[in-house]
Amino acid sequence: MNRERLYNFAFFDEGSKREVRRAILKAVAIPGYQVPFASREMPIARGWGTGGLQITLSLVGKEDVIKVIDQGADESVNAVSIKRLVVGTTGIRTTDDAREATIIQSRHRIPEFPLARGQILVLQVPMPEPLRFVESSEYATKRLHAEKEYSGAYLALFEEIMKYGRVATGADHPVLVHDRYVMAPSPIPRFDNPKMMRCEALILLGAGREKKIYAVPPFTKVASLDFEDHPFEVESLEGRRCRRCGAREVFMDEIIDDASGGAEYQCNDASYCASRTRARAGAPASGGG
Amino acid sequence: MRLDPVLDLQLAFRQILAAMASPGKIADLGREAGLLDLDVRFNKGLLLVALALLDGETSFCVASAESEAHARIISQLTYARAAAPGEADFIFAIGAGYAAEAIASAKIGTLIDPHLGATLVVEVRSLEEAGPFTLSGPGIESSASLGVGLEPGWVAERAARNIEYPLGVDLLFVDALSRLAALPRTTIVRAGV
Repeated sequence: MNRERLYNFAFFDEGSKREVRRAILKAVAIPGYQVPFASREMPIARGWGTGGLQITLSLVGKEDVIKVIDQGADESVNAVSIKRLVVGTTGIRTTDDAREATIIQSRHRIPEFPLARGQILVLQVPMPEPLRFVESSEYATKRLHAEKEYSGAYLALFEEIMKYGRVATGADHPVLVHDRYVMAPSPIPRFDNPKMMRCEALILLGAGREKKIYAVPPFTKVASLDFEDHPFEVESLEGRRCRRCGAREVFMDEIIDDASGGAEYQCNDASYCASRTRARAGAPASGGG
Repeated sequence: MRLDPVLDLQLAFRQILAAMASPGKIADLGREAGLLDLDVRFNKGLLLVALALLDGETSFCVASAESEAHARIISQLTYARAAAPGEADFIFAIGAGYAAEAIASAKIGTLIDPHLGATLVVEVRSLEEAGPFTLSGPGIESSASLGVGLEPGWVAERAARNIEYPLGVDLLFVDALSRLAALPRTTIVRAGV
């Protein structure tokens, strides 16, 4: 079945694309501010990346090469389903290699290879509002952003320090963008937060269920919230080394060995790990997906 | 219309987005604008931007010597609603002498909804990636320079309109060759290198 003929190019009708495109442009013009948009029903369930998918479908053209990852994996069900929908309705090429992709749609990770100028990273966002746990009303949180009233966000971090002696955000550690808006970076590990700081690529974030699109333009200041006496820290990787490729200083999955009960570590970014493994074996690194 | 309303407008949008994400970098919409074989009496680059971004969900106004005729064409081709300058989502400033006035009359959004600030599409004689204006802000590595073939009043008018960030207007300049440069409200423009 050739879905290119059954559906418009990139699945979406042109009116929906224009709606998303207008929201993207305003999001880029106001870094970190959540632009409301008329989120569409998608052929995947809300909460499965519909915001990111709507951005991707509105961006994509014949010349694009796309990479989709779920956590760090190119081949998880969610990533594969999204890729199949995009490819099935556009006929474009996919890749696993983050350096080769023009558009990277990602759930909860920023690739280990540094992103370059001209690339676009699309992050799927479940909860775009970093102040939601402070204030349940949407109008109230919009007012807090309007007034740059972020003591609630700092107070939440302070409470963690009082409870645990340190900031204990597992993922989605809030950031201050362009010294103006506190933003949810999506549930990326703290390890990935510094990658947003003055990133060369354009970062677009989409929340389909919550109907928000926001952005970080290239070379924009993105600072993780912290305190002078409790500076922001990424997860400790001390002593960890990937069991496959030997990498250090990348975000790792912990794997418990059933036999010994001991913990081993492996790169979470599967294609980064694979390209290092290939390079070590002397084989040519290839994209292809 | 030889322009493919799906694929060519996608390319046009990506160029506009690239310009918005890198203020001072000039995008070339010449190929897509060249495919527009409609007989409009204004810059086809501006019409291309209108086709890429406007529809029945949006409002616009035109500041030009023939604003009624221009507005009729845009409205017929995009279904966008004509509105007063202070209410329009998009303002097209066509021809010399209309940019400053258009900037001064544009809506700047509210602190609750700053995205309601207008997008201005301004016709200019020429654009250069070198010139009298030094740009800094998001999207720019350290600084960029831009030459804009436009009477000088726009800089002060834009600065006055954008004085209370995040309120403000976002500018798209389109030159005679359908090349486009963007100045989102975050870009700081200084005269002199």
